[in-house]
Amino acid sequence: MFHPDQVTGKSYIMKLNSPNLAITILVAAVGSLIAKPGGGIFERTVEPFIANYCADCHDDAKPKGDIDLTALPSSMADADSAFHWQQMLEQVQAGVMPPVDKDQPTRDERRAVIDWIQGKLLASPHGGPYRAKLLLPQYGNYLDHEKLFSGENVTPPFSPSRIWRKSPYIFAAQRRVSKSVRSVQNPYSYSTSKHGVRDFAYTSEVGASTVETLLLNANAELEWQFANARSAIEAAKKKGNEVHRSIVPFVPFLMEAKEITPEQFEVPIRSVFQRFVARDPSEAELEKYIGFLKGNIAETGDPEGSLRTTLKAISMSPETIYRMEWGLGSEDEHGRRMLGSRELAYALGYALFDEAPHGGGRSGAGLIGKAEQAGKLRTKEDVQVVLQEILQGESYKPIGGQAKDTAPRLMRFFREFFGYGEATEVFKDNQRVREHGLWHDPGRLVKDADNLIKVILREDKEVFERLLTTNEALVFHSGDNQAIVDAYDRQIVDLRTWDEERVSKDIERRKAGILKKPKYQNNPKLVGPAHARIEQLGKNLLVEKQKELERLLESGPVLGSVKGRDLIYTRAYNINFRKWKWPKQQPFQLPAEQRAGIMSHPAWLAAHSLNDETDPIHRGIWVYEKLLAGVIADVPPDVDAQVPKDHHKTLRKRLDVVRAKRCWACHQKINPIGEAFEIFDDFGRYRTQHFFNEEGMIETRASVTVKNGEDKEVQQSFERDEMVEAGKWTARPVNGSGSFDTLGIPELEGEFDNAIEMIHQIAKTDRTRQSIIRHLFRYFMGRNEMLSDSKTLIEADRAYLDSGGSFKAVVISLLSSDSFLYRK
Amino acid sequence: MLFAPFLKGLEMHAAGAEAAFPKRFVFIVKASGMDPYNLVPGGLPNQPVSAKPSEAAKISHASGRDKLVQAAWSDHSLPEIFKPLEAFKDKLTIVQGLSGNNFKGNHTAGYGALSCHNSELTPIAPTVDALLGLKHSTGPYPMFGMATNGSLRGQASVPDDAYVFPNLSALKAGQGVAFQASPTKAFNELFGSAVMAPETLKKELTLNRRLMDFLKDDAKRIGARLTAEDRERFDRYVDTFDSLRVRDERKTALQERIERNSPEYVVNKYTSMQHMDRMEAQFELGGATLVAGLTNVVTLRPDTLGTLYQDLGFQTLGLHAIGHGAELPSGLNSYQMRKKVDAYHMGLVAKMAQTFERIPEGNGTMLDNTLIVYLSCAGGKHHGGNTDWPAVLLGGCGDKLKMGQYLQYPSYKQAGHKTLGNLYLSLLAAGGVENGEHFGQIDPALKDLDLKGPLQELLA
Repeated sequence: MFHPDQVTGKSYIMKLNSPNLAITILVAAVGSLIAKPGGGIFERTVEPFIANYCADCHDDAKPKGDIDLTALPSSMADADSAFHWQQMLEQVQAGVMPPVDKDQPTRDERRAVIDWIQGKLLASPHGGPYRAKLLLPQYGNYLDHEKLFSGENVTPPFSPSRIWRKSPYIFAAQRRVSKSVRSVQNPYSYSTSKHGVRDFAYTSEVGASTVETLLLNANAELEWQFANARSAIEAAKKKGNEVHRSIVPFVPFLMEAKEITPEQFEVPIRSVFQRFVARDPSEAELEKYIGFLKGNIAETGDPEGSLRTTLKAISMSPETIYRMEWGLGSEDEHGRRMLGSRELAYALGYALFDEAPHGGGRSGAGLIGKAEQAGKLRTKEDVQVVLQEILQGESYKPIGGQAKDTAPRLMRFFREFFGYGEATEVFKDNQRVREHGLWHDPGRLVKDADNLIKVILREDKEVFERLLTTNEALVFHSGDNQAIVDAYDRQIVDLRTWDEERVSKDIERRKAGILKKPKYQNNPKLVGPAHARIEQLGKNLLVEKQKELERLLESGPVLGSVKGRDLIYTRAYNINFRKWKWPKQQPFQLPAEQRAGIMSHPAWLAAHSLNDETDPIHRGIWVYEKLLAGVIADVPPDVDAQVPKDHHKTLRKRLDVVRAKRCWACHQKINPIGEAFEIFDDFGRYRTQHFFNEEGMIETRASVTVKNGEDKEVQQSFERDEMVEAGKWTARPVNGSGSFDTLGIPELEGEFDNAIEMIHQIAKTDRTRQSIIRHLFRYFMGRNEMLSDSKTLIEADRAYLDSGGSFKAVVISLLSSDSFLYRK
Repeated sequence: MLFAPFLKGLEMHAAGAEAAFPKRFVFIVKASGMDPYNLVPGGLPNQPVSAKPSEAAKISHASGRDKLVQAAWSDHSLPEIFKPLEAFKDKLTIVQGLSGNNFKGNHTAGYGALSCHNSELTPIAPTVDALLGLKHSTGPYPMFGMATNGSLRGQASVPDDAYVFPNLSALKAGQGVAFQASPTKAFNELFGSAVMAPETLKKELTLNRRLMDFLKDDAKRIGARLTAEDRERFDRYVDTFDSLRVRDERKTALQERIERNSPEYVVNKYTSMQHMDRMEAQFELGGATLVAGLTNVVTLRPDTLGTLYQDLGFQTLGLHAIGHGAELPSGLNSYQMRKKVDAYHMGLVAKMAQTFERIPEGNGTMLDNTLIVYLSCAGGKHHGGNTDWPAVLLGGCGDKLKMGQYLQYPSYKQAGHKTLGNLYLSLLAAGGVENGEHFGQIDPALKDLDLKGPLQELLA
């Protein structure tokens, strides 16, 4: 196996299978020595590369894989050759070719070739399939990292003009016509992988199910509205009153008015448009819908049905479904158009809040709306000012606190990026969990991870480094120590006010509340028993409140009531909850040799695991792609990627199969990293030993499930330590060691003993910081980066460094960058 | 009046087309589990039938369940709750002992019950009813669903009155099927054209057509501004308006059958806010929908955990309370109440079967080509019943399924044990739908068993 950086004499000593081959190589070798002055890049770099490293197998004599690389024209003038260039590019970029047991090009040689082919393909009329591929989230890393951050590309950045289907979150944030309409369903869903950025403009689909759901929703809401209006009109008629102003727009259509005035046509259309599109309709749009409405009435003579149909049309229009980013400002000297002030307000609102901007309130979206209305959202500086104001107010309220995050999209980045939320989706069999001696509560672990990230974001210093390396932890604690104390004080005050009078008032209130519920109105027989239950509860209420007061006074400020049972799940942190004193002030520190950052958090480890095993492969892929912006080729279709089962070997040993020549090309980037995580099991517990039982089979369980005398299932401990002492079982240390040398990342070389060491090293590199910024870029821009985004990325990187590692600074930089503001 | 399908059958015979009658399916998915011991026929060796509730558990979890039991109704009496189906017993098959232990949720397997995927709330794969419907339906709907309530655990003791998503059926990943909870709205949507004044019908159709045309036309101004890549995706949005229009056209084409087979709209029953009335309406509409050819697959969700079976005598207790062992002051215990619910459902099933039996088809009746599948979304218990999941089949799938038997598979993890996925593969095979060796996700705990393909004992 060759290190890509090695240039050995071997490069020029090839297997001389055929004289033709030898001559070709010699000629090429000589040719490269005699630099052709003025020769193009193709002649200087690509041709020699092919001759030296590819022609052995891919020439006209015996073209392996049916590819004769020596015959490919540099012009890419036809679809076939463009396709073959693409194949070569992908294989070389992913390090699959040349095969690991053949001579390897230097890093520079490889990069030069990748650069040339990529550039040519992107510009070629036959590069369509490749360009389309690069638009997909899973191929974002294909754009060379060093080229992006080198500063050599000075193209003024922009995003393409586009429409971008709204996300499920944007729909959820929209106003509903009434809470009574319960059957409204979210029409939007993601087709992107859970393991990457989800909301990509290019991949979002609007198909039959989306449109049908929109139609169902429209029907449900309109039905409610019209029925509501009708009964309001009738009630008003009976009482001789005026109808409420929200009903007025419906009156001419429901009351069969002889003539409907132009204004009466406008009002309902305007109001529905505002609700769905979050702005006033333009004159042209009004005219269009009024025209449609009038046409409906003319053809059917039914004003009510016609109005409903027209309103349906608005709720299913492109403006309702898509975000539009055309770039309505004037064109600059580079052919770019800045987003119009209104467009900008939308873009920022959706970027941070999932919400369209509105004028009201102190919410973030409100601040954007206000700035826009005041004409203060026109320039890059304007944007920076607004963002500063918004982000200053972001407090990252902890989970369990009363308020939601004011900018939910910020936390969501970390959820999507790290993927620890998936821990709740990985099925762990209950019996296996018991036999491993713990209680698996992924939901709780995810909350802990969320709260830890929020602590780090709140302090906003060295954010990326801390996320990756901190050994601080929050366990069953929100991290907001002051809030806990405040809540405690409030609770004490409240408990002190409970007396007989309050109890009886409470009973009356509950009894009255029962009578308002439809369940009881429709089934009066249920009321009696319900009231009896309330009175019974009331009898004990005062005593319970007094007991609670005593308990709290004794315990001091705690988060709710922390029972021993609540902490069983902490075994995942290697905490023995029976002996552990839960710290009231958090975060606290876990052993630094056991934990470093999110990647050693049980939520992340469990999320990146299989049902009954760890998952070194996907953990390795995750690090390589997310933290090192690396490219790994897709699994070849004929490979059955199954880990062999062998109960006598550790997982690491079983994975030796990937060291076979064909597999190692890709797996050399994955396994060394992934296998370092073997110091953790699939529940996230730190471990130092593997145990092998009497039959020499690996045994990870602490106990086995048996049936006792009464035919009940109980756990029978293996008494592992005793067995090892008696020599019946063997224990071997877990091997978490590895080397960076095969990754092909310039900043990373050398060895590490385990994942903790590895994480600390990775966290120090520029590459890691920049890779996170690339992903953040994709998250906010809803697309992959292009070479022209280089300036934006470099500026964002600078913003992070200059601010001492402030995440807010990076966000402001990206959202006020040319890439975000300009369209072309 | 009823000759049309019959004549078609004769035509088919004459043309030499073999058993080419439409295949139809009714899936009835009840909440709170179906107790396996209520399904055991009389006279099976070592299987006492009328045992006390505390011993009833032994019937379904007898340690001797390591052999396949296959019994014909000719030799055994129908279990008590199936008395309404006595006349149909040669078309009745009960399947016990299957498991679906790798898809779970909170009191229900949700989408997992019909897709065998572990995803209660999000549709990640097509469900078996949808697959059959997509294959066979020639009408406006690939399948049609009706429910009394959408949310299972909403403790809703008042029926819903609009489209709901009970998380049961899905046409494909990301596309869950909406179920209509209002019998009136279902009636209007399916059979409204039969009772609507022709002018009203014409108006509705006109407005719908104009809506689709408007949307399609309006989209053009956006399409013109898009890049080629964006344009391709945007066109898919625009194309959906055509497919909605096609649905209206197909419905119009069935106008005559709709008028002929429309159920009677009984105001009190259809607008009642009592669950049992709604269930009756649902079954009625479901049967009529199949007869009219509006779809070939109907899925019904008769109850949820909050349902109050008032007319069965336990009006203060919802299914959830009953499932947790509640008892009435009169002494009626939860086992007995659950049995009464299932017996009531069988009565509804019998009525539906009679509807189909009245329609001649080929050498038999419509019932021979319609398969009613009755099971629970929670398996064989109120919760935790995923290892012993009963299913009841009534009717036929042409001559593809062996009806008129009792099947009980060896219990969970024993050799010969089978899963719900195998049952669905049998239905898909009978329905002519291509599928692989497995349906849905495989239970990792059963990796040493042979779980490939349909249930051989079910296929003819």
